[in-house]
Amino acid sequence: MTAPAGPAPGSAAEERHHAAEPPAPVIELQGAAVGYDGRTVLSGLDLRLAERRIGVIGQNGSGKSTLARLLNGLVVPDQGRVLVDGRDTRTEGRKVRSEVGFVFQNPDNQIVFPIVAEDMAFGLKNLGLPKKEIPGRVAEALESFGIAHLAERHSHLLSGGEKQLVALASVMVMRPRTVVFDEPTTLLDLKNRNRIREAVDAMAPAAVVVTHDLELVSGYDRVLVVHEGGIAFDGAPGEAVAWYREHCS
Amino acid sequence: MLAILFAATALLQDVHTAVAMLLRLAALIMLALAVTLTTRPADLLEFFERLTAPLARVGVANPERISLGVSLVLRFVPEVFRRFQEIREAQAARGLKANPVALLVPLIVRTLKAADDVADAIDARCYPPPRRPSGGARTEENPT
Repeated sequence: MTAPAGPAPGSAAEERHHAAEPPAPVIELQGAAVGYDGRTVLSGLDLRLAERRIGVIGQNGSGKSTLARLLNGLVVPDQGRVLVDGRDTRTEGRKVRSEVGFVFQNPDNQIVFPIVAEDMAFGLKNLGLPKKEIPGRVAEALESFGIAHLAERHSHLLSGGEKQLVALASVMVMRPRTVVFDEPTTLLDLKNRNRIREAVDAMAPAAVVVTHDLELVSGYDRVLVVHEGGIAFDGAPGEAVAWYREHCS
Repeated sequence: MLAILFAATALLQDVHTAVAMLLRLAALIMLALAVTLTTRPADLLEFFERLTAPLARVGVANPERISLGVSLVLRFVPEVFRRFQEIREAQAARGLKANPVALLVPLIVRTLKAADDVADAIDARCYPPPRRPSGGARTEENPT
């Protein structure tokens, strides 16, 4: 079931549409199917994602996280293909990942280096940025998330909210055009959930947010409901959430 | 751990050998502690990169990979310890006394799962870096 997708007049989403932001890359799924251990997780998905804020909701085990991983090539489809601005994630995964960042559910598993500033620099080194430019970019990213004071801290000693902000900053420092979030607020308290929500709302790149937090997607341009390995509903946030509550509670 | 090693050496060999082994290990641990407490991880990694740079020139090793490996070891030590404590507390809460097998199996499983997730996170951030101009060509999809 689908409904026309698009920002409501006067909404925060519409304001973003009018702002001078770089266009989001177009992500196309063409008959994409994924299975694990003989079980079909996602079957024959055909989607075109070009909006700036897209929410993905659905029950546990419905295939949301696998869908998120398809979008930047962390998982490649068993059948069909996924294209990001025409680049196939199967053959150009590295290039796709430089355009599409990924924020994991558990920041403990995303932060690679023991010191925050080093972790931030990791992605930039991988992009081949000259060494002398890296400290400036790291400082700028930390400053923009209000966590400059954490630069020299050990990542394992940070609070859950600080870790998730560091994880987000370490992706944003690479200046991706789209960021995919896999349940970014699941492990957070209310205050930190709001901090992440504000950070996602304020950031310039497009975002695809997989979440169980139905409030998080309320101002988005489009929301997909994933159910039993397919897209059961695709439309405006209010209608999508209503469909989800009716059919999946 | 040191006590177990001491007891095993004392039983299998003699007390003098066990004491010597204990002192050697203690000296090594103190030295390692002195280095890690006084050196920033970034400096340590840069040192390893410089140390292994000659091996890269003869094609034996990749300094960036060695550096990443050392960094991951440093990163995982406190996390493995934290997981150990979590599992121990969960088992104690259900009345299980300290049992090495019951502790080690879930610890290994959870650590391997976390390692898998960290590998995904490393991939997601475009690892490995492109080779420096002097290092020759490296294609985008086969950078090593």
